[in-house]
Amino acid sequence: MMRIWMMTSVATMVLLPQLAVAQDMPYDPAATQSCLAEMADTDMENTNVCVGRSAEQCADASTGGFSTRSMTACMSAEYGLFDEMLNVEYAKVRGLAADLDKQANGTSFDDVSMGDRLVQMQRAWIAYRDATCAFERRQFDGGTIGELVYIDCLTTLTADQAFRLQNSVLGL
Amino acid sequence: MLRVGFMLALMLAPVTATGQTLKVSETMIRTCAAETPYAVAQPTCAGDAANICQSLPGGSTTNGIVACLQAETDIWDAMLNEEYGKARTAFDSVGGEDLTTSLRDAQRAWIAFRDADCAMRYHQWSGGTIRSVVSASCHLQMTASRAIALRDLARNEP
Repeated sequence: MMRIWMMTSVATMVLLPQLAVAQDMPYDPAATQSCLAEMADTDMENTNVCVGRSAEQCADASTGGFSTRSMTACMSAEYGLFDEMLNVEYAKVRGLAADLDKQANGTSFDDVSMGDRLVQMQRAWIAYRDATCAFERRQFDGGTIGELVYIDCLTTLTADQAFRLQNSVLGL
Repeated sequence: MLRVGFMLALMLAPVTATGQTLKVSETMIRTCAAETPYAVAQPTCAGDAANICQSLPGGSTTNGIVACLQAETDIWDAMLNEEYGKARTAFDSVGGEDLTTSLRDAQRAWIAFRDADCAMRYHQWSGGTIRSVVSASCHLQMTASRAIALRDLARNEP
């Protein structure tokens, strides 16, 4: 089964590598999600330690055990989890930005609206993510490890951005 | 070459209203970087030197706070450039020009992201002078985070 395009909203838009996903891929988001829930109560600054928890369990439980191949398939599922989280957080911040623009009612010192500033930021983030992960993959050109490095990079940066939107933008 | 160092130097001369220069401890900031573990997204001690700077004469006004934040940002920016240079050398020896061009593209994209992100935060606080503090703090935290990320990239030994 090939997973080729994953079209999402403007928040992420990414071309995933073509991944041969194992039939039995036992991905369960519970480990990552419970880690996130726990960190939300105790250590909001370091939620990034949770990223990849479920993917690691999944790779260990895959037929043949942990391998570059199983981890790549499992990490792509973990990417989906954080991509969804980013889209949710981005939508929330879009709503807050719209409220702020409504309150400003044309009196802002800035010609550009908060909503447009947000879109510009997120587009710049997408370009940064793509350039960064392209660089990381390039270090391993031609190898299957490059695909794992790539999906791991996308997942890490996507999670970081979701946390940033969740913690600090417009929430102060 | 990186434009960020040059740009910041122009933008962020740390001068207060009285004409005095507010100073931060470079040793303290470099110690913060050295003590930040591998792969930590945001060094928790970033901003400490600027906080101390704010207790200096003139450091507690809005302009003073901004000058202190900018003075610390300058040090992180110098470290960022050092780490970028090291990464370039390291990747040039293993992957040649393809890899260093790709690294440069990533760094340029990061600069654009930083600018867009901090511009958004500045806009968010458009109602008051706090916006310049928020923006300066954004530059400080993002620069610190990137300096550590580039350092860890050059190590590249997870």
